[in-house]
Amino acid sequence: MADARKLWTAGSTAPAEIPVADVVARAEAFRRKVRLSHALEYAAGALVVGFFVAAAAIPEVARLPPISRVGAALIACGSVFVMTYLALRGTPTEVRRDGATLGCYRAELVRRRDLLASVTLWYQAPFWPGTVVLVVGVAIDRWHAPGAAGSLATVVAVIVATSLGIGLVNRRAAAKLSREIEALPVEVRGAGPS
Amino acid sequence: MTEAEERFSAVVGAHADALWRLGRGYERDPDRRRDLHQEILVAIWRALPSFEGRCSVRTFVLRVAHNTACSHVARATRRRAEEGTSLEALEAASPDRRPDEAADDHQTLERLAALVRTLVPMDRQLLLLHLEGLDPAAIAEVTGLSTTNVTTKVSRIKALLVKRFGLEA
Repeated sequence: MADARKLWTAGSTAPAEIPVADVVARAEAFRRKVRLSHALEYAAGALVVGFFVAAAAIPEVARLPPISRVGAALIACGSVFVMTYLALRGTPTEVRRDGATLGCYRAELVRRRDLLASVTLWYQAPFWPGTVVLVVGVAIDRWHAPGAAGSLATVVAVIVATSLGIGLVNRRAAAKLSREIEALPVEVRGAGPS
Repeated sequence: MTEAEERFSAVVGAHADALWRLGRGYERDPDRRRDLHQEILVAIWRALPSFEGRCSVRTFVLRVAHNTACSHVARATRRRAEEGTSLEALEAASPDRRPDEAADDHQTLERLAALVRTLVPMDRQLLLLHLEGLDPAAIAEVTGLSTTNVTTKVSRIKALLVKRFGLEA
């Protein structure tokens, strides 16, 4: 009877030369890529904040009624909150990889599960007050315009359906991750990254 | 070569073959396997400065390698919406090896690697570490499982290898 370990290890050897210079270059490229990705995230966030601040402060930018300008300011605040949350949360690339493997695996599942389960709270909810005030302001201002009620109903329906859809999909994904976490042995809980 | 590069070269060099083989248990496609190998080397390079000698170098290298490979597979499976198979499910579904099945080592190795790649992360790591010759205590140190749990799992792995491939383990 053949030996599984001998079969697995026989005849499979790594290339003789270790590409040290290539590895160092890739690590540096990876570091630059992460920094660029963070910079782009902040730039995109700054654009959103800038637009809504302008909409709130400069009447010519969006021609909003006064109540809606308050809504635009609240959306800008919501964007700042989400950006701050994302910055404080950190990214998976910063996770240490030298911890016990199943502990790291569990920690990653927990991180993803918690992020998905709370997405409504940290990613959607901060925009709700501003959106509601902005929509209500426009509705009051243009209530007597032809077709205003229909347009308002459509906008509200799209916002509510999108929010509920995103929330539902994320909750399902989080529940699936919870089942995976529960299937891991109990001792793995204490073996996460140091 | 700098001191850090020399240290990296020595650490990786001592475990080069095991790191190379590890890719076989995570990636079927040879090109992606080479990418994974590079990713693992980069991860070791980045993690090495924080290595404080609280475990053996082998444990450190294997932890970084498996953690990196697991993330690599998780990214790919999220894209393909695949799920792994547990050892238990495999035992239940596993047919006995037929005597007329090819006993060619290369084919057996390919089938064994294919089976490894279908497993959920925990069982995949246990099987790969066992195949690399680690004893239950060493596997427990790498994975964080208790030695008792590893011993139980490894005995089931051995039974599965005999039943499915006719391999002694």
